Amino acid sequence: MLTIRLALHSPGRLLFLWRTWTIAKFRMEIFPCEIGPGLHLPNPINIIIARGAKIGSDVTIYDGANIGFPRMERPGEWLSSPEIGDRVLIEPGCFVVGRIRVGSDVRLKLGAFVDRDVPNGSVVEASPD
Amino acid sequence: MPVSRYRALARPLPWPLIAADYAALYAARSDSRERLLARAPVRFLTNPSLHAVVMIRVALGGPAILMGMWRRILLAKHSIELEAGFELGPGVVMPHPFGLVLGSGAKVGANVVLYHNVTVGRPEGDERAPAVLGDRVTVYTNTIIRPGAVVGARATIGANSLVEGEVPPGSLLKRGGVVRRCERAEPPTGAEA
Repeated sequence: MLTIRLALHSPGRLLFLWRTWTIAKFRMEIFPCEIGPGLHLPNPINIIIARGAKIGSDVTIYDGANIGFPRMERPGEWLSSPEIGDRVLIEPGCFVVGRIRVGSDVRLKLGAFVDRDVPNGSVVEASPD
Repeated sequence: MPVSRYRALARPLPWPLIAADYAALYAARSDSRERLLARAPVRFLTNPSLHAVVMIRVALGGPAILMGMWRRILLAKHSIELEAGFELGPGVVMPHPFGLVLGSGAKVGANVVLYHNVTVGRPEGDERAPAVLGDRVTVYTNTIIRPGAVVGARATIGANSLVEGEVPPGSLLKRGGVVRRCERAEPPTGAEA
């Protein structure tokens, strides 16, 4: 937690140090993004937060969550990243992919795959396919 | 120590393979050759994806007696489990270099993209052939590729998949897809064939 805050507030040139450190210690990759206050990581492992993602306040992210895929498709262009509202609960193994907006008070249940907008206050189940 | 001595130390390293990995990782930037070469020292020092790939190359190309040491280092730094006898083609890209299991006997082709938490299993007993991945395959997160799996060239395997059988070349296996043994995947769904 402290590592992430420090990483996000350090100059961009030091990103590689934080990236190496978070991979070695937490198996996490946090690219430059906006995270609101009150982020809670109960099991800080296997989490990926893509470049440019916007995360609101009091968000809980469990292990194995993928928030955006930060790989470039074309030169100089990053894959668009999602925007997540306040008080969202992201359970283990969730994928949040693409330029979408997840509203506030949302619960993404175990293994949910989200690639479209989610309205406020909804619960997303893992789809069977 | 004369320069020739350094050369002798550097010779066992699989330089062409490492160069192919480096070029593949930065292919999306379409840098010129001069720029690639000029930035190589800094990138090799700072990019964890390159750290992992170089360690895997050195481990696989080096003497078998050092394999245990490399395995421990890879496990400690990247949580990558590497076994001797794993065959890795040139130009592999690991966007998030952690949680991979690369079992012995599996064959991986050229220009493959392996995301995190991918398992490429090793054969158990005699009855199973090793897993084979063709060229330009992309394997997304949390996928398990079991022994006996044959993934054709340019195929894409979605996240959370389980592959035991044959995936035809150029096809797209959707996330959570399961391909059992003695069974072919669905024909290409929306993918470029």
